[in-house]
Amino acid sequence: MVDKKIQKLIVRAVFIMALLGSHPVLANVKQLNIVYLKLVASPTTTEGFDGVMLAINESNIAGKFLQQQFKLRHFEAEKPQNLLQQAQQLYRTGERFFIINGNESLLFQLDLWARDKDVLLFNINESSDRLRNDQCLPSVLHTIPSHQMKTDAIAQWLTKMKLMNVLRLKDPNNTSADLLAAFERSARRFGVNLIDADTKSGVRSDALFVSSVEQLNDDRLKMLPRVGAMGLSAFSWHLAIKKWGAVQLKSRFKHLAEREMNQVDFSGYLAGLTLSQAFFHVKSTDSTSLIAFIRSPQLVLAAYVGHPLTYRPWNGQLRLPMALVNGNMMVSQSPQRGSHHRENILDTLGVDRDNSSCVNKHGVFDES
Amino acid sequence: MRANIKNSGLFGLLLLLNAGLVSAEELAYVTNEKDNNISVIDLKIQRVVRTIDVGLRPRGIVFDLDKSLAYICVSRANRVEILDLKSEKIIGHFANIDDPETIVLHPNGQTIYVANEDQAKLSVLDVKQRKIISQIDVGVEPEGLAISPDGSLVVVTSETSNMVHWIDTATNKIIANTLVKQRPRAAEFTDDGKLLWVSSEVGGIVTILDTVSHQMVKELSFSIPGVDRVQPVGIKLTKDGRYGFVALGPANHVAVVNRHNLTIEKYIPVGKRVWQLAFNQQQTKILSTNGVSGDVSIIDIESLTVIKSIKVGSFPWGVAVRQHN
Repeated sequence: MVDKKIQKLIVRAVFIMALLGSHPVLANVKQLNIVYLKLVASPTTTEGFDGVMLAINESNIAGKFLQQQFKLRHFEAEKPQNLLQQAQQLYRTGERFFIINGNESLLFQLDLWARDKDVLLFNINESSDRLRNDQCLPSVLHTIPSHQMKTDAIAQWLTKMKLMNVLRLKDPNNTSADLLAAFERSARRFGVNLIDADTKSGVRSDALFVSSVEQLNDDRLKMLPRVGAMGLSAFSWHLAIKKWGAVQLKSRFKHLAEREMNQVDFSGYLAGLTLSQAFFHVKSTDSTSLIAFIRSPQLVLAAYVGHPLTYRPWNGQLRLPMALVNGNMMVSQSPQRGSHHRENILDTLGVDRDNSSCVNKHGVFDES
Repeated sequence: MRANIKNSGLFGLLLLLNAGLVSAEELAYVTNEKDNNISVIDLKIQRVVRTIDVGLRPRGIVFDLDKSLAYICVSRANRVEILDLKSEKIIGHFANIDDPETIVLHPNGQTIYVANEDQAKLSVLDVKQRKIISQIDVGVEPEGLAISPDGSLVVVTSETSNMVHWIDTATNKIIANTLVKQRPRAAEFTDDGKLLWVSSEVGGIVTILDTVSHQMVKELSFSIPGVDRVQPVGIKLTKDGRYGFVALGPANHVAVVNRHNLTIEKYIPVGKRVWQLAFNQQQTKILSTNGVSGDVSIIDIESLTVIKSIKVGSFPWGVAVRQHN
């Protein structure tokens, strides 16, 4: 039985094609093609894809004044290998821009394949710090925040609130080791003291870092404010964001997708926006020129989060502020007011240039 | 008897002259986005003298030509309300205007342009018929609106499409589109109609465009030491060509641009999240609405300093000033 959501997706994909079919590409209209590749988990959802769709729809509204348009094609497969083959085949027919909803393995393989090509890949859902700081992935731009950006956002807030002693729990199943490791680095960066839960020496703690929901069986911990995977969590996008014109974006998304926009949808939206901004400015489908523009300081995104967004040249990560949300309430936004960074205040979240092991390993950026 | 009439006429004339010389009473009307009302400020005593209830989420406000009426965008009520300024009562409205945000009046006094933020449209309203007579497709999230002094052009900026649309008012057709920096919020023509200033909130700059070629002439950037979010929003240009004032949003400052050499002469600290600006009649003062601090700053243009900060309602948005005899 075909899942209802898949049916809806197919219907929507057909609709896009139909829309484009009814408006054949005119000789004077330039068209940029974008490919969406999704590694299918079960059940399949339209998370991420809807965000890209919104960006494409809006860009086509703007594009009609500039004789430019966008076409999005969507492919799914269960194995990374199949999506890699798909990408290779699409490359042969001229496709250069790929938005990926996958996992570490898929991104690694695609990047390896893309290295000697004029191809740009967007990671819209994988937060792994390894991809950004060990593997570097020169052909990938990340529009989803890393674990490190999220935990830095939380640690910065803890420091601001003077909650300096934070209890750390051991994760029984080790399912959230990446998030916990990121928080340990954040604690060092911002001077937060970590206290192990098994230390019962009466050390006062101000908050509890939860990396996995399974950790919360201990009654003694119920009174502590929670941060991390529960309690106060960090998001690049959330229903609770109401400032900076966010209400308009949320309403347009809901109109399209009939549900609320989440962080992965937002990352898809940002990937689509990056490509449309580049196409409008470069006014050509030449991939080398488009990639050069995207990697230049001229590419700045306005994205309803109160900061201009730019990509970090050293690892391709989009700089993003983080909404700190508890339940459905936005408690704060990091960077906290008063934070400073030599290069960009958003570089107080995530690995900055000075601490990156990817400097000069990522795709060539024009930093003039 | 005859002499008496003469005398009283003379007395009346003297009163009138006196009023003109001393300067008439001036009232500023400030729309409070979250209080659903308007604060009326008497600029002479520099106090809120009363509030007037209007529809949900009032934002853009403009007067009719003789300044006896105000047209107010009440965004959440999906209409433009008509406020009689003498009785201070809402005497009617334009219905079914989807999410109106900003508003301008054509110099003919009969045509109103309203940006429909949610619908990617610019609505053209006729005052006599009290309805929409045309709708123009524009980019996503239209916001900044301005009409050229001779009434031949109306421009609208679209925040998400990062574009300025130039529209011929005779045909209601777009004649050109100019890409500008991120999130264009406000537009303002110079009094000679030759240049258009456009603020880009996220781009952090003001672009000055030539109104014939529709191309950029100059970009102004702003920088205040120790302030991260410098985000230009409202713009006002003095008639004498001396100054441009730019509200800098969360930077909580108004920039003063020297228009002879296009340099920033001063940054004036005002309330929090400064949004829109308006001159008084003589252009001796400029008022800023400060959304987050819920107040209005009055800047003296001669000394370029804030002379008074006046508490208004919750999230003041638009402001317009008229003389009142």
